[in-house]
Amino acid sequence: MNFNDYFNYINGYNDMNYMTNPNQMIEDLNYQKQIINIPSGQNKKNIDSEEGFKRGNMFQNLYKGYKNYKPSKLTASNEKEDMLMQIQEYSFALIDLNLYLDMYPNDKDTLNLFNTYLNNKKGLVDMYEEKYGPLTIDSNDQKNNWKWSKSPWPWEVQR
Amino acid sequence: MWKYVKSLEYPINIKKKDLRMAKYLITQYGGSNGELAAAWRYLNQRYTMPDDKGKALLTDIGTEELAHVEMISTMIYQLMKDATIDEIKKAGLEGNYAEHGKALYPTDANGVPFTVTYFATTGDPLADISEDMAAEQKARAVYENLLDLTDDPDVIGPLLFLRQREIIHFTRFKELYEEYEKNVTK
Repeated sequence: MNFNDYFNYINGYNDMNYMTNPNQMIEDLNYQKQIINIPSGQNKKNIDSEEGFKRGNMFQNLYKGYKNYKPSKLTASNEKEDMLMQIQEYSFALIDLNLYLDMYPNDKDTLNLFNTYLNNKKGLVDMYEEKYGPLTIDSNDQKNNWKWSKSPWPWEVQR
Repeated sequence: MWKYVKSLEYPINIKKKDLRMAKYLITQYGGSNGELAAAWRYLNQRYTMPDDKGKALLTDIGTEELAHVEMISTMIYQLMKDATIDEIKKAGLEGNYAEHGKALYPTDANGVPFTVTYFATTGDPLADISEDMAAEQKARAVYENLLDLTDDPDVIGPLLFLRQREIIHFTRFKELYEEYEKNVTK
């Protein structure tokens, strides 16, 4: 995980290129790859946060599909959506590991993983908020103007 | 206390209005096995949990259910927002429209309003947690019924996600239940 690379990428960001070649752009965003290891407790399976978020489940052995449905592919249509989706992905990993750690508080490996996702998320949230406005009211990006109330709100179609 | 995050737990962008689906989906908002009932059932039960595991798990799952209330509400809002009066009548939602316009109002799929009797709470950790396990399984079953009723990928994605969460919540409650069964005596 190298946020400097992502940050440089964001600064050199060009909307036109993004729109004409979105697949390449998504491929370039390898900042989002994280391997998740759950080596102890009852859930000794590996799944990364990208797949876990798509599934709604970070634990390979707890995943039970329904009929022949496959988890939906999540594709962003612009940079803002892509960054937010990445934040949602890390946030989701934290939610699911949080519930696991409530039950298995002594699992050090999962705790380390939780902290890794937490750091990843913090870095990305700072970048996102600087560019697109606050996600929580106590974010520190509202020095000069009030951005909190600005649309879109989460329930509004974002594209 | 709680803090609002200006983002959904999982992205929802439904482009096609579908009043019929909104009418069924509302049960996961205001029905007996819905997210609102789950959220406040857990958040009520947490006060009388016997140990830190129970207090933490019910607080955290209850909090996640609040995010699911927002997801279901978002789906209903997006499915209904562009509907015309004719379409509302055709879907049999004119009674709902007369009372609430296009505002969100928690009912089940048959229009029965939400009631606090859904917050089953006994003060007995084993009884409460087994109630919660059943609630998660019932909610999973309802999500599967709802999946059978739509072919819109924008709706299917979030429904599949929410269904998985029921499986995880069930598993954690079951783990807690088994621990309490062994260790907690009244």
